[in-house]
Amino acid sequence: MTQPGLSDRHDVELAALAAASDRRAFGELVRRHSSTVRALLRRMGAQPSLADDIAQDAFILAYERCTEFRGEGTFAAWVKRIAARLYLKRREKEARYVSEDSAEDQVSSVDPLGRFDLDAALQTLSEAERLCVSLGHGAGMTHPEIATALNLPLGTVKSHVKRGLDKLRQILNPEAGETGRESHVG
Amino acid sequence: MSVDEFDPFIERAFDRAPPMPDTALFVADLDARLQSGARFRAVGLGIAGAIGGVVALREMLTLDMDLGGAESLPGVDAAQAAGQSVNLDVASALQAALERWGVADLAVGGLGSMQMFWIAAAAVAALALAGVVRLSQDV
Repeated sequence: MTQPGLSDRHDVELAALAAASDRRAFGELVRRHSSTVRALLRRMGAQPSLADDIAQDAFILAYERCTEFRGEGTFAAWVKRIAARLYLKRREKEARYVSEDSAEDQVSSVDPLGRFDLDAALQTLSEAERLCVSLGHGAGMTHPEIATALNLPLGTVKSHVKRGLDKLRQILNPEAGETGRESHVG
Repeated sequence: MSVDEFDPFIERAFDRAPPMPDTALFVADLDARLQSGARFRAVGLGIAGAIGGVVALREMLTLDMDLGGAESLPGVDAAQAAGQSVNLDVASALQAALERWGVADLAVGGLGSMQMFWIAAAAVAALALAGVVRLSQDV
């Protein structure tokens, strides 16, 4: 699926070529963004094999709808939103509702070099918090969009996002306290 | 890190995905699926084109080939007769196929070209509608 010159092109150009049924151009887009999309789905709670299946479905849908991509946002953000919605649809079909179950045991979310490990940090959030934070900050959905997608009240979504972010912030900066609104770290 | 700084920080963290070792396999799988989808679409369009062609041919052959004069041009009668013969052949072939499928009560030979056209158009419209509904359910 490689073609000389494609790797130098901008996503918008590649998407325009893909809209004209250029599968090679689309392959380059997939190569660039598949890891991000697959990672988002895993961060939302999908098992790796399911995440990969949904990511493939999302890219196929994106290919079929490439003419709808106008380049207002990034191509990656567009596909991530498609993938996130497909994952939520799948959860709905499997009757998996957002549960308020407690988070998994605390795991180290900062590696030995002091770098923040988002995947590990997300494991410390409850399922609802992880989903809401991933949809908002990973898939770029607004709070009302998340509320609609998850069939939750808007206030509940806002609470989940806030609590989730507070937990992540605390992992990054344990001295910051529960809210950490005024805190700063280097 | 303040709240204002933290939100973009988390968004950047989401954008930084660990490199997947099987990206090449993922891309190849996806390409294969796209290719099979394109083939399926091509076959579908081909079948639709063939059906349209048959209907168009039938329409042409059932035209009254009276070219406006009492005297018929040489070959016109022969062409008309051949056309009617082909038309009957197509109708009887369709009828035989319907009998094989157990829906012989539907007398295709009795349907006019316009009726055939509208039936085919309705079928295509129904298929398109089903596709749109399916797509809207997916997203």
